[in-house]
Amino acid sequence: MSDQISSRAIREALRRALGHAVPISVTSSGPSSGPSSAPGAPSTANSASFAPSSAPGPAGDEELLVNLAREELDPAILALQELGAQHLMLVAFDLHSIRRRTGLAVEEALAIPNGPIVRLRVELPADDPTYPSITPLVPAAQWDEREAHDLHGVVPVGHPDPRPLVIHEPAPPAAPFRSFVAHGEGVYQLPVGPIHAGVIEPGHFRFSAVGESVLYLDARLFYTHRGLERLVEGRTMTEALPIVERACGVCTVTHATVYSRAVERLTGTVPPPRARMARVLLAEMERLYNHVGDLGNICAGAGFNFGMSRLAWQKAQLLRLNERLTGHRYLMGIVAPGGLRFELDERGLVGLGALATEIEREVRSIVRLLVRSEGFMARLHTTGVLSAKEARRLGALGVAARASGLDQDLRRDRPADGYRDLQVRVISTPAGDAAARFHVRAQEARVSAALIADLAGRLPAGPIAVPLAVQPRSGDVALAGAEGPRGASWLWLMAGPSGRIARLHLRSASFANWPLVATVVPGNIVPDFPLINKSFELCYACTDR
Amino acid sequence: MELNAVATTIFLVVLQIATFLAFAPFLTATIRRTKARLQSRRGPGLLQPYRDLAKWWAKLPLESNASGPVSRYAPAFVLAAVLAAALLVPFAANRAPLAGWGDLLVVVGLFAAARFALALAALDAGGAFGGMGSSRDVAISALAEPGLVLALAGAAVAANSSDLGAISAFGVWRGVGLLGPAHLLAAAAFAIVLVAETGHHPVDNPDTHLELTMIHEGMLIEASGRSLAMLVFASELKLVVLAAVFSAVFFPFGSATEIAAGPIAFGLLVGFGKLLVVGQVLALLDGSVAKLRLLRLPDLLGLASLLALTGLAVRVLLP
Repeated sequence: MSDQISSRAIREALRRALGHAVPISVTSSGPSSGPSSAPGAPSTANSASFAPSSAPGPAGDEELLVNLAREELDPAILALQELGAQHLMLVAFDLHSIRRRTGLAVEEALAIPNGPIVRLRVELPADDPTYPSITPLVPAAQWDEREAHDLHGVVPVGHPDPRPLVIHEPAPPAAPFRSFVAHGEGVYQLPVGPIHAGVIEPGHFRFSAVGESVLYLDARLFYTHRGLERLVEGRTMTEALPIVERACGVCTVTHATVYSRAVERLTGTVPPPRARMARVLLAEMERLYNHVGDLGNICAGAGFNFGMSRLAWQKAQLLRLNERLTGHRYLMGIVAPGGLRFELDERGLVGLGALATEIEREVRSIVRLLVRSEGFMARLHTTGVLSAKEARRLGALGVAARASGLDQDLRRDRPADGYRDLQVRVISTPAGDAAARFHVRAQEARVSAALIADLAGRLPAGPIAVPLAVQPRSGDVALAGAEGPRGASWLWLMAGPSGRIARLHLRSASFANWPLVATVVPGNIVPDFPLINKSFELCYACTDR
Repeated sequence: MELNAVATTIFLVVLQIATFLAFAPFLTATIRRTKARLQSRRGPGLLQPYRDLAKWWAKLPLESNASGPVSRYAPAFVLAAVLAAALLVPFAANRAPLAGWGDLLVVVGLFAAARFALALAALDAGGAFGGMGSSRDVAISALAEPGLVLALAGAAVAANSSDLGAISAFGVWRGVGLLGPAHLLAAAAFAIVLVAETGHHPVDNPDTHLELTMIHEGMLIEASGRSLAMLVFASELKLVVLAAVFSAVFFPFGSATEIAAGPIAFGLLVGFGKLLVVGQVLALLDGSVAKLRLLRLPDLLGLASLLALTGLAVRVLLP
């Protein structure tokens, strides 16, 4: 990797943009002593590829914290965008939790490709918590800023769409739903949900349509907002895990992993090799059952009962494998800071690779039949097209991004845990329609099954967890990401006094992708919306938290 | 003699109403059963549609405060219109129970009246899905109606009568000779219309929970209690009646040519057998074909009209 972007280059770029040197603090993952601190790591690791990776990755694991004044935010972002910076999340927090004074802060976290993660922090006085909105520069931050406004009261001045996002009622008095609907001759509004005819998660979709053609769609979510981020504040790192893990039911490994990695970064802990590889195994199990289920859901969206029922069957088989391996069909409760909470079930591990391969082979033959069904594929082609440009602009993630030609996957781009020692094939195709998302899922399922088959038989021996090394200092922040079935989820974790949590923010992949659905739908017809929606297949619960 | 004819009519009317009412939920149940089997599910029991109807019938309808008398009375009107159509269709015998009271155009008209009332009721409730379902259903039926009428017209031209009983009797008289190219083209056209009118794949999904894709179900979404029972029963009955028209006009073999206990019983058995076959074909379609994109439905229904028109042309030009 010759085109590494170092923290020095970033420091230089920011100095040029702001006209003065800015204080930057650098943290990198893992204890300074390197991974050798893992106790009992066997020196006789099974094969060369399992030798603990030599220390944290060069620049990719570094985090730079830059403290800025409000008016410096925009030029700093522009400078970083020239280096290719991608929006990760914007998080607001109350300074009171870490210092004995009032005040608020917002942090915009950006990832520099082949470079570190940069957190731009702006502290705001409590009596004037305004800052220039970054959405005009970073359209992907639109929902982040609206959420931060609703929940923390920081005001992004100049946000193009300052309507409430999380808090629905009462609506603000002036023009509550401006740009909520389209107007014109023959335009009607079609409200759908939040209570649906089927047993599905709640979301309200407001279509503005002429006949069957959609002109505009506004998605209003957050009906399952449970205040999880507030709930974990003041709890110990151990207490918070089950709460974070339950942000939603189908990304449990992903969320437990991002949380665990963030805690490990804060405490300078490196999980033992067996745990790191087992996390990969579990993550791929999660991806596989999700992708298979989602392929079936696409069939349901197109009204193709054959594919729906066959793939639901295969998904059920995969859930059984999960249960045999971990005692939980949705893989809850096993990934934990420091490694794993308990050992994988030996009976579940035996033959896991063969079983997963067999199920995937079955899935592949079903997919082959589906692809041959002209009526089915005709529904998928040209439906819900997300252009590469739009995907990049709005920060699309995961399958949605890769099906629009963006070649990105955290497993390869910022590998953590066992992924450092593995080569992950990234599937990408340019078409951007529902068919492309269908194909990407089908092929990724195959990659996942191959990874499972590869890993199940050769997990390194040794302990499954280490105690957390040190207690984090109050005010320390760590950011961790993981590629889940719906894309990269990121978690921002700030330690408070006595090792408790001062603030946690989970930016799930679904949260980042929801605005895409709303922009993709106009131009399609109303009865194709369920299909488009299912081709993205985003969670509501981990968006709402 | 006169008294005898009246008695025959009353007998046929009672027989037809009793058997159709009893059989309609069962036909739906067999379709669901096969669909479930095709999806590797066990599926609900064959009595489930009866239980559903009984449950809804026992409940008072819940009306939205936007709705008025239309949604209150429309369900009964819809059911009555379909029932009336049922009595104009020959089933067990080669004569409709109310023979002479109306021909095939009246049957088509009664269905249109039922649809009109249902569409109004769906609009009346004030929900968005009702209006959407109405607009789609009316658009589809407008496209389907030419195919329906032209297909039946072909048979009527051959039989030289628009009375369904006469057409059926003509078919039985012709025997296998009936199955000429013109006849089969018209039968294909009618089959497509049958699928569209009864809301099966690839036109509509009768069991969907995706509101935005609904057509017929969308119109029922605001109905509840007794109103829902009547509307669901009407649509189950409509399937029976349309399938009965299909078999009477295109495959009338087996129905009784005289009004006597033996042939009538035989005709009933054969009739129900044919209905079950139609139901199984619909279930197969539901299980094996994806729904068409809504805006491509005109292609399918245009094909039906084209087939029917070709059939009619063949019949007129090559007698």
